[in-house]
Amino acid sequence: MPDRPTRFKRTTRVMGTVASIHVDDGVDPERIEAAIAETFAELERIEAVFTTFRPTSVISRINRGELALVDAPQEVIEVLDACTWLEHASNGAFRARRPEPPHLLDPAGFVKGWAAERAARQLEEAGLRSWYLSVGGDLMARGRQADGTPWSVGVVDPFERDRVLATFDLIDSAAATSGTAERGAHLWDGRGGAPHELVQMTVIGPSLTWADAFATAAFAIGRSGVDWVSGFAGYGAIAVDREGSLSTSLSTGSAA
Amino acid sequence: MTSSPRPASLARKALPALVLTGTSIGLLTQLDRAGHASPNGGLAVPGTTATPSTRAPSTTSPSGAASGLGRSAANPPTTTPPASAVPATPTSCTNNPVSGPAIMTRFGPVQVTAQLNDDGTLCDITTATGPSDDRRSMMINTRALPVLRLRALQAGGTGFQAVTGATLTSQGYRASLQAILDA
Repeated sequence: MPDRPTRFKRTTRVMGTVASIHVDDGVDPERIEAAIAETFAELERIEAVFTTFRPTSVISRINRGELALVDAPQEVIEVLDACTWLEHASNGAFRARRPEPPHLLDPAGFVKGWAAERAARQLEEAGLRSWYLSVGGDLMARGRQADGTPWSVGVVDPFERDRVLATFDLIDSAAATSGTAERGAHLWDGRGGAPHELVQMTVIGPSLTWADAFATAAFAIGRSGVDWVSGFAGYGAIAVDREGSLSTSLSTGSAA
Repeated sequence: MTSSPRPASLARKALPALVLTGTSIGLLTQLDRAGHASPNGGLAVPGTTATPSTRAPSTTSPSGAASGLGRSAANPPTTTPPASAVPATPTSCTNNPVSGPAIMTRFGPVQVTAQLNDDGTLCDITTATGPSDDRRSMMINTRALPVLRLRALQAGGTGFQAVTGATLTSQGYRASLQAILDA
C-alpha cells in the first residue's frame, strides 16, 4: 500500500466512555496529532464543566445553590437554553432535570453530542478534511476515506452488541444513538409513567448536537419518536423496540 | 444468485412495509448529494447550538438549520399517511436486479436484491437469504429492508469504520465493535 496515507486512530477515556478519532489525511502527521490532542482536551474541559459526578463542576455548583444561573458561563447558558427548547419541542419527553426530587439539573442527555461537535472544531480548524470523531457511539464524519469511499457506520444490534443491524454512509453528517445498554441513567421520559417502548434509537442528520438531542428525546417518546424525528428537516431515525422490531424513517426512495 | 424458497411472498410482505415506514423519502440520497456537492457541509451544519428561543440571554443567533428546527416545533410533524395513500405496486420489473453484500443480523445473514424502475424508484425487492421461522425475525428482516436496501445499492462498499449504539462505559468499550475498529 505505498500510496495510501496512514490512517491515524486515537482513543481516549472521557465522559465515562471512550472517544475515538480516525483521520485519513495526507497532511503533516504532527499537525494531525496536535489537532487530535486539542480535540480530546476540549472534551475533557467540557466534561469538567458539565458533569454531575464532580462536586467542582458548574452544574454541581448550580445544583448546590452556590452559583446563580445568570452568573454561569455563557456556554452553560447556551446548553440550558437549547435544553429548554428541546423540552418544548418534544412535549416534555426530554428534560434536563432529573425526574426525582429535588429535580437536580442534569443535561447529560444533551451535552455529549454538543460537546463532540464543539470539540471537533479543533479538527476542522486544523484543516483536516477526512476524519470521524466518535464519543461513545455519537459520531460525526467529514470527507471520505483515502480510497474515496464514504465513512460507513454500523448500527449496533442492541440484543447482540457484537453485531450490527444495518450500515449506512455518513458524508459530512452525524449519527447518535440512545439506548438502555450500560449507561441508561441519563435516559428518562420527562412525562413519567410508562416504561420505555424502545431499546435503541439512532438518529442521523447534519448536526451531531441535534442528532444526539433528538435521539435522547425520541427514545423517551417511543415508537412514534421515529416520525417525530423525521419532522425535522434532514434528520432520520432507526428504532429498535423491546420485541426486536426495527422501524426507520430513512430513505426508501430513488437512488441517485 | 439463489433465492430463498419463498421470495415472492416475502416481497409482497416487504413492499408495504417499505412504503409505510418510508416517511422521509430520500433522506440518505439527499445527504449523499449534499456530500458530493459541497464537501464542507452542504447541509449547513450549524457551528453553534443556536436555538430559536428568546427566553435566555444567549449570544448565539439562529442559523438556517435552527430556524428549520423552530418551524418544526411550531408545526409538529404530521402523522404517517394512511395506507390508502400508498401508490399501487408496479406489476412487472424489467431492469436488472442489484444485489448487495450479505449483512449479518442477529438471526443470520440477509442479502437483499432489488430491482428498480426506470425513474429509480423501487420496483421489487427480495431477500436472498430468508429469515428463520421466528415471527420476530420476520418482523426484523421485513422492516429492516429499507436500510438494508441502501446498502444493497452501494456498489463495492464492504464493512464499516465506525459503529453507533447506546453509550458504553469505558469498561464495556474494551469488548466492543468500536474497540476492534480502533485497533
